[in-house]
Amino acid sequence: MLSRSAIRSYSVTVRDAPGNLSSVSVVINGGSKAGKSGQAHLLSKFNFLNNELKSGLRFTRESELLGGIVSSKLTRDSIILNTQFLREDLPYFVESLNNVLTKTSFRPHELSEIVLPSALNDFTQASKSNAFKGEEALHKISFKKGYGNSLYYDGSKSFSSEDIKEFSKTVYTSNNVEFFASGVIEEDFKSFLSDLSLPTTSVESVPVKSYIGKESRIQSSGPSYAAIGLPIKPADFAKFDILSATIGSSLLPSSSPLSKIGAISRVLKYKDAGLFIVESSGDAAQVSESIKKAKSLISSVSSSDLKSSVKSANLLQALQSSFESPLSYSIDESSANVKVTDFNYVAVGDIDVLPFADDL
Amino acid sequence: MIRGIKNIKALSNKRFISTANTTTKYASLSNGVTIATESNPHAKVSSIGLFYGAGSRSEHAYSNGISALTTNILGSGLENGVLLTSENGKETNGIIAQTTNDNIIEASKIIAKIGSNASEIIKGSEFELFKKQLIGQGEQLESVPQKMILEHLSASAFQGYSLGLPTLGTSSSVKDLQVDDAERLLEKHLVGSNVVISASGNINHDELVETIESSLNIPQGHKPITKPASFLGSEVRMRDDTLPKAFVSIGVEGEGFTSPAYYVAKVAANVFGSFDSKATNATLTSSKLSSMVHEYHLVDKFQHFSTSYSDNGLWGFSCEVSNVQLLDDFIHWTLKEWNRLSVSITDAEIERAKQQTKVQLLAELNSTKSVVSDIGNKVLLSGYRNSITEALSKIDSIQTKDVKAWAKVALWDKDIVISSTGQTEALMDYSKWRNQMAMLRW
Repeated sequence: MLSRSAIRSYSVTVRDAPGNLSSVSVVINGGSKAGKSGQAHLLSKFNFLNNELKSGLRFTRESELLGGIVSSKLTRDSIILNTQFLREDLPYFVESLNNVLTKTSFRPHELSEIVLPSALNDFTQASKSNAFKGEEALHKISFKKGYGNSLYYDGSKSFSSEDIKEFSKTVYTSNNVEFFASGVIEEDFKSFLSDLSLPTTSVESVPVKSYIGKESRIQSSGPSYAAIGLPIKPADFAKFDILSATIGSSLLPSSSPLSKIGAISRVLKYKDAGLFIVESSGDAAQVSESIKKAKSLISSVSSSDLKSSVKSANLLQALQSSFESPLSYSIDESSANVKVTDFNYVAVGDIDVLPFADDL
Repeated sequence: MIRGIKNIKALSNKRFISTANTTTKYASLSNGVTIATESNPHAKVSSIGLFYGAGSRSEHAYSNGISALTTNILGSGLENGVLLTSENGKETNGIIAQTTNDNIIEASKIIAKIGSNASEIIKGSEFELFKKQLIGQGEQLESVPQKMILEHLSASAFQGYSLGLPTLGTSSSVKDLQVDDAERLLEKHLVGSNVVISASGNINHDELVETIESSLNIPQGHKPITKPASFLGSEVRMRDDTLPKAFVSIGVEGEGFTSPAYYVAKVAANVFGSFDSKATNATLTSSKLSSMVHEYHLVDKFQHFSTSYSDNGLWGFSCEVSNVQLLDDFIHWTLKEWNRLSVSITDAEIERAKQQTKVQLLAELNSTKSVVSDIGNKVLLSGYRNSITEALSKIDSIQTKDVKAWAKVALWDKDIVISSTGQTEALMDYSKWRNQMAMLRW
């Protein structure tokens, strides 16, 4: 049972499921692509802290007493509030999500004592990895704005709690949030949701522009990383799923043409764009070898190879699809034609050894 | 993010599909193989796994790694939209096929084919290449201090017994493994009564049973006897000053899958739960231990666990500490909190831990692959898998006095095992911590 409808113009997807566990998620179209660099990350950290009705302490203690699992996650597309709890506690968690969206206090001391240290820790931990740095750079050169924003707050800019509050008003709006409820009865859920009143201001959508033929090189200690990246349109996801399944995908760990040369591919899928990545990491000389071979491998994929991977591409899509972010495009042989000629390229690590895009 | 949930990242990142609660259908084949399936209409990916009882516990020091190696060879590949992976434990191994819902019959045929021709597949495989990959997997595990101390915790706790052997073998034991070793393993362990085939997804039980019955050919045979293991209080330190922190794990002998106190131990572990000093709710979480440690930054992260094997287990915590000069404070307060489980734990703490254990139990079964693995392991190791309803009512019926009674027997003044790496110079000696397992007064 799956139903999608709009109450008061909220987008709601409800499904009942047998058993005792329920989950309610709010997907807010305002990830790091939105606002100024880092704002979304800081906002995502404010969720479930003090609000006008309940202190963060009270909420945390209460929800733990109910056994609930609560998280606020950030992606380039969205801030995702997820709650999982026992069936009978639905009213409590819907109310809590409601409070987060409409009544968060954004106290100045929370910003300096809780939000900033936690956000900066995410950034420093992630930045220890050259692969993360490479992926960030790849987004920057491929999209510049929007999806090109840094995923995390890096501490270089300073925001006040008031700034974050203002930003929240621009993304926590009725036509910008989607509800996904699993293991709940539709009428119940909607009746609890009827208390929610979010502003209806429309969000300005930034048109996605992508760029090809760019290169970025970052000198850094640690294992080297090189990647070929190609910004793609949502309409082409099926094509690149097939390509990725043919040459070797990180989601389908098996002996593949790419794994034999020490590389792997991924297709990152966002709402309005995607990024096809072929990457290798490790010793600089080894990575240079691998990425060169990977480049020639991508350009030599035959259409019969692509056709025979359609079923694997279907599995790839199913593995990436979730209740909260369903992927519904169809993958068949008609999509089994893709040629990669131009691309973006990043090299992180020992850039004296790693090749330039022209050398590939 | 919330203390009390192990491995929260894995939970929240994975797809949530609510498969936990549908009823499991069973069938037994004439050769003794058990088939168990759970239908889930919401699943996008269906999984089917062949599990057999073996694991590192069935090995000895010179064949250590053979069950993982054999299973890796059998469970690898991508063919026609069916992805094969393997899962290796201390007592079981599994070959899992994942595929789209419409392709599950194809996947079950592949699983049946692997089960029927295991020995031929091993003979025809690139044995040396898989050995190299397994050594790589082992090195990968050793390079993550948090995982490494847990592997050494069980190695030290069950030293002298096969349960203490590393799950993936050691680089020197894997190097010498031969195809013959794999065949001997299969001959002994891949036998009817030691095999469970479990499936989960948008599937039809009868159709699946029919397919497997007609194409699976596994010889009859008795389940091999589980080798004995007994817990020994001991300590292992792997000092490594190149690491920026101290990583320590301390455990006591825990509960096996069939133990009546299985859920009591889980609830007891959740009384202290886990803690991450960088989470936004670090200063807010309920456990008394977390409120003691956060203010002086005694610890970066800690996590309590109750790990079970068929007849025993390990119960304890692991932690990482960057303020190493405060490491002994952290362990002191943790063990004093453990003491409190026997003498002064409150009803509210137990109630919270019970609720958290229930949600955790349900939320862990969040993909068809994890359901398949849960069924396979439980049926092999305890002979049955209780329904979720039964599990929940068992947790509900736990009272404060039950936890106290368990703690008095399992924790109070009991021998401990300690495993550590990183800046271990900050860790006090064994007898100091052993003495903290009881109080002279309270």
